[in-house]
Amino acid sequence: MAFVVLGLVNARRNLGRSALAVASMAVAALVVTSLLSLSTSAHPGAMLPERFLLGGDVIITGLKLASGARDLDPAASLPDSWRLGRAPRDGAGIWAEIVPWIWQYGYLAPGGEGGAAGLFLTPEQVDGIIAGLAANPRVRAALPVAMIPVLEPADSSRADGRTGPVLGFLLGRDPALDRETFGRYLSEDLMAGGVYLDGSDLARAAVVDALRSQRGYSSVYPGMVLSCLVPSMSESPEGTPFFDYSAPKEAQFPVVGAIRTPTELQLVDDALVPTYWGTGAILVSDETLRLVAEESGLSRAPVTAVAVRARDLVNVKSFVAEIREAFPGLTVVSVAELVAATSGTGSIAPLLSEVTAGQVAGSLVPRAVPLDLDLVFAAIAFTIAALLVASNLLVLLTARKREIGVLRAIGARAADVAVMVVTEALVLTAAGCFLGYWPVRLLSTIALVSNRLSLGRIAALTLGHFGMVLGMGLGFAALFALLPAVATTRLTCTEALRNG
Amino acid sequence: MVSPNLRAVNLTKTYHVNELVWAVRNLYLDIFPGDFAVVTGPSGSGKSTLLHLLAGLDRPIYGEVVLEGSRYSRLDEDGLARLRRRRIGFVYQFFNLVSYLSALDNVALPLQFAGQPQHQARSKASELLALVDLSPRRRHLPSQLSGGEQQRVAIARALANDPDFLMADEPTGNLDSVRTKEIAELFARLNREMHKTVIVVSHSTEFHPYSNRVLTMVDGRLADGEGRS
Repeated sequence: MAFVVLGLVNARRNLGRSALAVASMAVAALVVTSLLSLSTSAHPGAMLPERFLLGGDVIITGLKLASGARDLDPAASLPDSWRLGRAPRDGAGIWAEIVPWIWQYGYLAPGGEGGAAGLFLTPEQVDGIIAGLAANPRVRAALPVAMIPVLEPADSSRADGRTGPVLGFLLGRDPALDRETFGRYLSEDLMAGGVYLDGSDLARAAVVDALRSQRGYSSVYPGMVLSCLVPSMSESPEGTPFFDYSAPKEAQFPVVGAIRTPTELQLVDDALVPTYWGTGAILVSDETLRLVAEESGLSRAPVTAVAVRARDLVNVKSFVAEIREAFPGLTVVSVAELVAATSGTGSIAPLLSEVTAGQVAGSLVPRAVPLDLDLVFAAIAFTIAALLVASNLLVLLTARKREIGVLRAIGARAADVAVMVVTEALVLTAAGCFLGYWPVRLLSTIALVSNRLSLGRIAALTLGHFGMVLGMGLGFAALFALLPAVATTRLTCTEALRNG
Repeated sequence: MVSPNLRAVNLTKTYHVNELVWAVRNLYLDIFPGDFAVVTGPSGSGKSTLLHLLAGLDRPIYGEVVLEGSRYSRLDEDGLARLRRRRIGFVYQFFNLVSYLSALDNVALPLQFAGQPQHQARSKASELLALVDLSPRRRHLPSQLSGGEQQRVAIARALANDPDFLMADEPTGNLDSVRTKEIAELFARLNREMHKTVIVVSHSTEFHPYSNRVLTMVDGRLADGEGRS
């Protein structure tokens, strides 16, 4: 105990060097804390293979979409085409869904429970949009884009001349959300709200349920084969085909990837539903699309919408303006804007990357263990800091050889002196971790609050993370403090006194 | 017949400083309970080295030190540390107090090393400081004490674990004549009243009147007949 006290006293006494050691450890803790605050590992549910996000999506549709609570008012006169399972308002195109939408905080946003965005484009219109975008030099200059036709058939002609397999969105929901919960959401929260939902949504929930209960996956993995229900195809009185969820059919899909909208980062802290709002759009191959079409009784896969993926969220606003100007007759929806509106704060989720062919290909290999480089960076940062602390201690011990000699002469064992040295290192490290963690914690909280991001993200950095930072710091410090500690054990007291 | 409680047998220690130096050479010495031995001799004669070997602070290259049957050569560094802690109090010329601890804490340190709780250690340290007439200065740091006072703190520290042996290496080397006399009298008192076996290395003759043995070292050896009584 006496040596622990001596270590503490020494840490306090050599303020200059201690401050240096504390500062180096603080910087390491700061780096690690920053990594943690940004890390997806701080946010449950975010798994690497599923981090293909569509933050910059801009959806161009043939319909005006709901954009506020009034639009969901059952008393309001909604166009039929907004409703699930209903026919589009005219026969010029094909009804389909892009993503489900959620009514939250008075807004519609991609979510899953709230309904569907109908759209109504002919294949010619889709090709025209793609061609128009590709030909618009301002759009191209401002923002390189990738254009992903939704539910596009393999044999469709593409105005941009690209060939080969294409990916489409198969409507899905966050598979982590179970059927019971989903049903409760529908029946209690939204059904009560009006006429917007009906039994077909429950059938849709069964699709999700299949993902979860049949396969036992907490999420969708690339490479897995989904056995689930798909909607059948019906025709409107006007003769327009549409998906009918009231009579689902059994089908199997190989999954080649998974896509989620930015809403996944809006964590819902619910002990019963450890999940997030999410639109689990599952990427399937064109072959799967064909199978879906066949199972659904479609003569051909429906051409639906065009999702234009922006690479940079910063420019989405101007980009959307460009598209709206280019296509005045169509509704252009920015997912980012909707997410911002949905968050109730006006801020958007962090920048999300474009899905590349390479990413999709890479995602084909199932990964049992999520890869998290944060730990590697953390280890590097702490190693450097601990080396600094250790080197400081070595210098300090050289200057204190005489003192060590005295301690040994009056009966201190080598191990006792080593305890003193390690204690000193641990004290400095703990101080550094404290100084490194809490300012970042404070700053991140201020930043997040001032950016009006959801509280879930702020709360994601918890005391547990401080424990992690402290634990890592102390572990590394203890390891590297052994170096100077062992050096002291090799000193005889006569050597120490003579050379000190 | 009283048998020696500390023996040096054929003790030899060399150093390499550009050339081989025989600091202590084939030395035999018996120290008896209650002895007050003064080791004297010219600089470089090996006095301090001998004292360090006897205290277990250093190891000989040859020979043996035996303290009441315990052979130093059979003890590892920690064993020697324990032996120093319990049996030997050592006083240095330059006091060697821990600069950031008060006089009281310096004296309490060996007691804490020996496992005594802090309050007990401090209580005993207070008594020891009273013994060396330093009670009023117990809260002072070494830098706030005079040389003589620092040396008395060092002596109190050496007495902390009530050792049988009190060894001092030029304890008055840094003190004026008045303080030298005070320290010499203190050692004599400790020898006389507390029955400590005292071995002092000193150039000063102030210790001679109080000692029962004066050992003279020359070239690493004791003068003829001085090592053994």
